Amino acid sequence: MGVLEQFQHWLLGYWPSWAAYLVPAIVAFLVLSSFILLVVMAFIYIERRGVGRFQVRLGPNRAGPLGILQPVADAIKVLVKEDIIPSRGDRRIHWLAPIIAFMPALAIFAVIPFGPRAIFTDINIGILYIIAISSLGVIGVFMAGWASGNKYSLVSALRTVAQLISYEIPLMLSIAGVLIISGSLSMVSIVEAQSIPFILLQPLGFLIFFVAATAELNRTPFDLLEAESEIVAGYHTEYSGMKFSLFYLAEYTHAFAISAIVATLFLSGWKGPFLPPALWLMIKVFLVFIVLFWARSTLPRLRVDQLMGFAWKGLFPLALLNLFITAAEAIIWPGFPWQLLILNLLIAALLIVLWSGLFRVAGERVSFHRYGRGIAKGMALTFRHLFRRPITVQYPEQRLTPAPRFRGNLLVWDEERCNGCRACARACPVSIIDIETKKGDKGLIVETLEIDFGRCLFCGLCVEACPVAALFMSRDYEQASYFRESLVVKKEQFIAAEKRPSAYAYPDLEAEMPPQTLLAPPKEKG
Amino acid sequence: MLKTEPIMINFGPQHPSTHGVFRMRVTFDGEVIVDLEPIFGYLHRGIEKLCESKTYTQIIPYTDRLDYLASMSNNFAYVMAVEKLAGIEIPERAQYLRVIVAELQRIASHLIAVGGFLNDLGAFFTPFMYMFREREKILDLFEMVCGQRLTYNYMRIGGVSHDIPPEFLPALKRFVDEMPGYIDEYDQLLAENEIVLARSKGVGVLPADLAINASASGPVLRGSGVRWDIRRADPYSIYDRFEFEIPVGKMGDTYDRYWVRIQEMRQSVRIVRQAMAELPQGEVRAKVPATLRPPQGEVYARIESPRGELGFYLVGDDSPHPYRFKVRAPSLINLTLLRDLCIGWKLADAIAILGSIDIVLAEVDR
Amino acid sequence: METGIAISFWILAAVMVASALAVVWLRDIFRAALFLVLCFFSVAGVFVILGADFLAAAQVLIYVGAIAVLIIFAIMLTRETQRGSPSGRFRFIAFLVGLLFLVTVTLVVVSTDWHAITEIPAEPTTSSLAQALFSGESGFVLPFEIAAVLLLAAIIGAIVLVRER
Repeated sequence: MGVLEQFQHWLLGYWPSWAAYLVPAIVAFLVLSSFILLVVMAFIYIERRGVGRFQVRLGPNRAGPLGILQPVADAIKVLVKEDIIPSRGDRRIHWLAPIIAFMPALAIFAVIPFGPRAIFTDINIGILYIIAISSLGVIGVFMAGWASGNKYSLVSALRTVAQLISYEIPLMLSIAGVLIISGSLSMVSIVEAQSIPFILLQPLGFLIFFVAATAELNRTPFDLLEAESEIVAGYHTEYSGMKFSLFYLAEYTHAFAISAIVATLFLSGWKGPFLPPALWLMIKVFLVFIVLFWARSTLPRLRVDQLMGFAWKGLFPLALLNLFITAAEAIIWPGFPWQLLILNLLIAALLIVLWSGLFRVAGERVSFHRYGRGIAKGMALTFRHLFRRPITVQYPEQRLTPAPRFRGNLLVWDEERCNGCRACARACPVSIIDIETKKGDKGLIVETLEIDFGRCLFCGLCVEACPVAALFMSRDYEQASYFRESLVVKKEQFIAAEKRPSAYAYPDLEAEMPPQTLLAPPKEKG
Repeated sequence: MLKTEPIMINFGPQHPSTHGVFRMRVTFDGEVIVDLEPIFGYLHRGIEKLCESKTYTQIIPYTDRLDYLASMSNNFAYVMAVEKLAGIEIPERAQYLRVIVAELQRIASHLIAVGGFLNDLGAFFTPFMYMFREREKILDLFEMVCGQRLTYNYMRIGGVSHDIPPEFLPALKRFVDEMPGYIDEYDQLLAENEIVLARSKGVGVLPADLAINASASGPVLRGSGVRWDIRRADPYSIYDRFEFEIPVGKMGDTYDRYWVRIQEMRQSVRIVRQAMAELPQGEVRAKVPATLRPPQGEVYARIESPRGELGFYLVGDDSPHPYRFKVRAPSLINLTLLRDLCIGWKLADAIAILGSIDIVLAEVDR
Repeated sequence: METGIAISFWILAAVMVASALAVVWLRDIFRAALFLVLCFFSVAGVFVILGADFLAAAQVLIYVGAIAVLIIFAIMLTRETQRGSPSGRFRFIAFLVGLLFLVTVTLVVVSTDWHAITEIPAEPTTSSLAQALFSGESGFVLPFEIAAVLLLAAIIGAIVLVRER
């Protein structure tokens, strides 16, 4: 009996029956959605930081300590954005689509057991309910693609259906293997049946389920719906503001749900020593999720036909065979002794080797003939990068010293030395140096000097042309202005400006400059 | 047979993977491309005409802005053309410095090309970031030499603008020592990755005869198995002194173009290493009059830029400005192959093929 | 308990009928398909009220998840969906068939001896369903297996049809 039923029973003693049914449902919804929001925020934070580390970046670290408030900042940003509805789209369906995409992902959690008794409702068809509910999400995506009136979105919607229908079949077949062993559709009984985690008893089933689930989630390498480099953002190209954030939320909620299902079906759910059950489940959920975005940050995307081919020619027959083998084992060794574990591992390895030989690309068998070794190598490489020093820096606090000859954004002008010869003005390729001179006691005096840095190429030819060492490049590299006029610098401003001349064209100055920060400084001798 | 209707999709000019303001009008039958029309010119700035009113030295910063991922190569080709026109001999040390920076530039440019290509395949920026890391080291070196990280304006008629600072060679040595290891890492990440292979092997095959007929050059041509590299075929500067190989592909598919680029990076490291060892002392800039007035005549100078044959055609008329200034941009000419390569392939392949051609729109449109 | 179920039943029934009517009357075929989804979904809701949870899940899985999605997929591949079906060629035949169906259903409803089930529905339903399907004497093992083999053959056939040559 789940938490929800217990609450109902208790309420039935006090309230009329309709209220006793309605109130727990609403309370459950509120509790669940706030909990999911929290976890989703943690997911977003971990993914963004984690992908950052995989890519030798720092990742977001500004909002709050260690950037922990980044998801909140993201949420606020996206919520205050303008809501855009394409004029050629279907307004109502466009409005409805994100809701329909989000609800199924949320509804899955009704049957996820967080502990032996910590489940909202332990219906005896738990896993079937999950499959049924999660097949609804596709309709939301579909509606979004259709209602956007955008060809990218439409292509994405068409891909969605093809992909999700194809991957649902191996997904269900691989679940069937688990069901044969556990003998129940209820999530609680499935966990209770796992004295050995099913990942060991069903290694092949686990792999198939994991791959198919990644495809269900539209995550790399199966992220064809969003395929940024091809169809921009796919079905949510035309979404902004709250509606976009609902899609975003749906994606991560779904990721959470799928991770929880993987943990429940194959990683023995809440079971584990010492720690409380709910914590164990969450640890497993996060582990699965980390693998998901680890793959995301390593692998490129499959093409649409390869994706379908992989589902139908690879996963589907394998899943059927797996089901068949499991059923045979259920008849021969009904108790599923632990020795089966070795046998199943061997069978899984054998089948994967056999099957990967079947794949061919461009007429020759090149692609999967190494049984995924290339993918494993790549994953190992990205994993090693997790421990390397990030190459990005915290910019305003941590500044890099430019090279001594750095050609910075303004010029440094020395009034004393300038003799008004106009060599710089003649050398300038874009003719932005404007000098007017008049006759003084000793040669020419510069009357006006105007340089339009809005058009400057920073090529340094003027500095090189100066015969009297009166003009220098600057070492500054920060300049911003709201007005173009303020980029035109006049004589007085040159005189008043803080002078930080660069050694460009003046090699004698180089020695006294601070050394340049290098990403890979030369090794010390010795 | 079911009657189907083609659907026309416009890619760009604003699209995440058109590498700039480039537009493809693609006609699909389902997901299969039946027609593709490349449309460009969105970035046309009239540089060729503009340069006819600049002095020969003033043009150098403009060449930075052609292929902005390989500014050094552009500098190199242009100053070579002017030196040929005016008959200027340049010092040995300058020759070596030019080769070093040009080969570093080739590595930097190929890093972007390969990283961008993998992004087009759908990798979530990871290979791109790793390659940016190595490119960053090259940019550090360039900044040390010429003070800028993108628009270098380093070469001058008669040499280079400045000699290298003393800290350059140790830093370069470390880079040259480490780079092959990083290229091995890319191989580990990508060369055997089943998904990369599935996406790029056999896709967008460019037959050698078509490549030659279309006047393709660079990795696009060599990917098709044609051993044509101007550094060997028509040696310029001092390339005849170095030992290096010209990697060529077998099939001319997207993977081969990617593979050729990776191998060329290894060869470039080799060339830099040799040039470092032989680097002579001395002047870096020949004496050239402040206002250069080359004699009447026309000249065409070409180099092997990272993208292919980059040529500058100049007509001098005794004045300080060129009478005619024309760039043979390899990106543009390679891009003309896009339609032939893409037809019959799928939407995702078109993006991969475009990425494998490696264009820079600033050079295409000029 | 009773009132709650009665209220939900009437809501579901109203939604079901209304969405079914919308499917027929709407000119925008895409929206009609979406209402079809709603209709299927409310049928699943009625199953839940009847305590047939397995049936409800199967209804959602098969009708909403597969059939309706395929219908929408087909619609997306069609041209000029906004205008609806332009030809009325089948109007007369459709009317006849519809009439025939209505008469049959009415006859069945009228002639059936309706009685309320007094025993409590089996809980859980899955094991009793499995008993009914696969038990030795009265089961449907053979038809079930034949259907399974047929489906497998269909899938393999489809793969063979589209495989690379």
